[in-house]
Amino acid sequence: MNGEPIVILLAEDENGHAELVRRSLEGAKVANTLIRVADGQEALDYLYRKNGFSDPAKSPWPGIIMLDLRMPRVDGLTVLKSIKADPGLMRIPVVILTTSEAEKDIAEAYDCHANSYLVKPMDFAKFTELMQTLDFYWLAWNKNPL
Amino acid sequence: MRSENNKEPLSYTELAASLAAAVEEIAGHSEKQKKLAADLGAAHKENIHLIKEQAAVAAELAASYKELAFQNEEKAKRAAELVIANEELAFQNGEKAKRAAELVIANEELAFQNQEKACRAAELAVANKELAFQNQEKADRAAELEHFLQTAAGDKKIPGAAARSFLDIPRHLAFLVAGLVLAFSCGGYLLYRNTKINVYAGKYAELKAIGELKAGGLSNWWQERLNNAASLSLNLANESLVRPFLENTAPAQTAGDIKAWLENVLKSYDYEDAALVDNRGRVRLFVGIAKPALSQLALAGIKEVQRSQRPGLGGIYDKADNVSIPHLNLYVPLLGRAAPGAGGKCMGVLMFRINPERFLYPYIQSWPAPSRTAETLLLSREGDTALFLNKLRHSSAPPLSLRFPLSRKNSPAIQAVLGHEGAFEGKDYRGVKVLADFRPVPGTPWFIVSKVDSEEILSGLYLSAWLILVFTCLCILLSAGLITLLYNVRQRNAYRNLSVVNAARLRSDALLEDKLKDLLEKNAELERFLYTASHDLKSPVVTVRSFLGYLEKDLAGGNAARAAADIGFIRAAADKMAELLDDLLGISRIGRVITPPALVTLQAVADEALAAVAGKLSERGVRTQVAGGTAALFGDRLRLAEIWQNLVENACKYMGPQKEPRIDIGFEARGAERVFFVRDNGMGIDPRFLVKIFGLFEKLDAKAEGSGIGLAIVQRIVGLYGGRIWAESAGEGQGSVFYFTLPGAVSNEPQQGEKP
Repeated sequence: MNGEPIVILLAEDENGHAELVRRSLEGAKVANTLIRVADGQEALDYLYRKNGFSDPAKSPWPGIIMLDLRMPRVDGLTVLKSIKADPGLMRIPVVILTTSEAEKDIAEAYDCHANSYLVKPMDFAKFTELMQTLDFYWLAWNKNPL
Repeated sequence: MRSENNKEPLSYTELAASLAAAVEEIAGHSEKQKKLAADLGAAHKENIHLIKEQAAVAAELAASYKELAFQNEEKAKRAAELVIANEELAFQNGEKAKRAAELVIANEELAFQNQEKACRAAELAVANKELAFQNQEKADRAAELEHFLQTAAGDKKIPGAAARSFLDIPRHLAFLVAGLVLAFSCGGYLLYRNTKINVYAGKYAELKAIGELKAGGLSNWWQERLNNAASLSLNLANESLVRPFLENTAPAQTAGDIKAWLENVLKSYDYEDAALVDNRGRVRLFVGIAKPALSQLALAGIKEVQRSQRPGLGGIYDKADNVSIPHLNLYVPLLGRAAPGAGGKCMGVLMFRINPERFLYPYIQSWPAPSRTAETLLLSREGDTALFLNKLRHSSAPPLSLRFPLSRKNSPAIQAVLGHEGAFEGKDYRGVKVLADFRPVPGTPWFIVSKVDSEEILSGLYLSAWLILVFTCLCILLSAGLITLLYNVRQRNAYRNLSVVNAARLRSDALLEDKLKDLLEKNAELERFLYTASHDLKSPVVTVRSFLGYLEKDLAGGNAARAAADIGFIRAAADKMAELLDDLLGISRIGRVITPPALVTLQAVADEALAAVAGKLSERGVRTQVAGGTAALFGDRLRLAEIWQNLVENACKYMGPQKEPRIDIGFEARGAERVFFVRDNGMGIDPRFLVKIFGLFEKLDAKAEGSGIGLAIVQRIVGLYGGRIWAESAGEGQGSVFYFTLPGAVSNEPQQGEKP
């Protein structure tokens, strides 16, 4: 709780959505640093410190990952699988943040050990509220691994 | 957490500082007065130490106070935070209640869906059962067919199988054959019986005619004897010659005259002997072979004619009258002028001996038709017996030696002797079955039987019987064969029809299964499509609605710069949505025909595609080349062109930093398959994404233009022509090749090629 603001890694291909998340977290109660990557491949590159993400100062270790499912190149599910299969990454909480409400997606996400599954609300107020709740819950209430 | 500057509590710090200053002052003062207060030094030092300690304690207190203050403030802050959190929580609880209500609705919805699923499952179970039943049916039909084929094969090869096939003839056919056999047998039997009856009737008629003829002949012969005798009886010479001779009043030569006359008579009538017997029963005169010694029978006969004054014939005898061979006597009463009955007296009796061998026996034995066994019997009744008078054809016994008791009723001889007239099948003297006609001979004491052995008649019938039997059997065999043949033909036709129907059904089943598979695939594809489309369409909606919210807020807050940014996001999302919708509409139209199928060359299709993306090609300076352009394709020209157009566009889009961009179009023959390709020397594809790229709205580069529908469209069109598509790439920067087949557009080529 004290110390550095927690880093949130957001993998989101939609610029609009990324901006929404950014704005929603601006007024959040718990200090955070939002870092956005545009797709699954970039997310993996970030986590493995490859392709321009090699500087730990510029690319700090994320305390939580927000993952969109449908993304170009590598999709969210593949990223999730990679994270949860890697002992060095598997403890990072992964929150799926997607527009999909498909049963299949939800089931698959949990099968791959997603820590949470959130559907993007189609409403400005709700979106903001969700983001702030999410921030508060995961960064304030939730006991995260070190 | 954010940190803040701490304010120290003033009073305590100042106190501590002054305390420290005072202590130092005291220390400085003590130094000056050191010598003066030497004895007091130790105590003073101790004092100083104490004071220092007090100062340290005070400092410590100050520090702890500071810490406490800090903690208090922290607690206050935490409390404030808690209040906020409580509020938050209360709000969240309200939300949760709402959410719970929503969940209840959702649960209901879910329950409904579950019910629907159960219904679907039940339907599926029914469908499965139906399928299982159909499968069973198919198996049955197949077994039937196999059995039939085996039987058909066995008919020609294996006798065992043939026997089995016979046994396999259905019951109604067996009944039919059995009925036919029965009918033919009955018919044959009736024919035989009828023939037999006819033959018997014919034989009876023949026997009757012969019997009647012979009886008539015998009767005539008998009557003729009597008539002749009557003329002798009333001869005028009787009075003038015989009377005097008998009365011994005649001259001596009279006897000679009479003898000469009698010899004439013997000659004329073919009699053996003649004897003149006087009224006293003495033989007075004899002409012939041997002089008879009159037996009692002869004397009785003589007496009878003397009394009746009518000529009479005696029975056939042997061993009588000095004759051992069978003979019969004709007694002629000699009457004078006085007419008989008028008191005239018989002067004597002429007795002629007749040898039956002369006429009677030959006449009886003669048969008007050739026959092995036929014979006529002459019988007379002797007390309780029937006496066989003539020589028998089938016995060496001499005439008159055979007698049958009247009780032997099954003998036609007895029937005849009993006075019956008619015909029947009985047993003759040999005990052999005979067909016989029996009747009395009118005017005589005799009876005749005309008979023929049943065996002789039957032997004639045997042939007919055999013929009938053979004919019947032939008829049975022929009809059975015909029925079997007809049956087999019918069965074969039925099976052929069945197998045709079966094959058709199997074909249609296979077709249905294919259709079903097709439909299931289509359905799955549609589901994927819907999933993707709904997800991708939802995305811009989230953006638009959220930024509308921000826009309102920013406009209210007068933040024009942010409002402009909001609008920018909204516009981008709306544009994207429009693009997606256009693409969706486009892909939904792929199944529809644009132009009727026609024969086109690869060159024509490629040209059309290249023309459509000419702008982009020239913009990027891409060189293109088409090889094997004369290859013919049959299909919807514009649809086909779309394949190349999208692939070329795609290649153009992902050309990367290539300095000499190049796209090759052509095809390769791989086995019997024609594989088309579009090759580029662009940025290539990471092997991980070779499959993913064909997904709907999939883009490898989020920044690339378009919605990522091009390859999905290509895949759909290729699928419409029954082909497949795949990409190959040595890796990023190595260029890529898109391969695809179009069997639906290529396989029709030869036939279609003949048509204009």
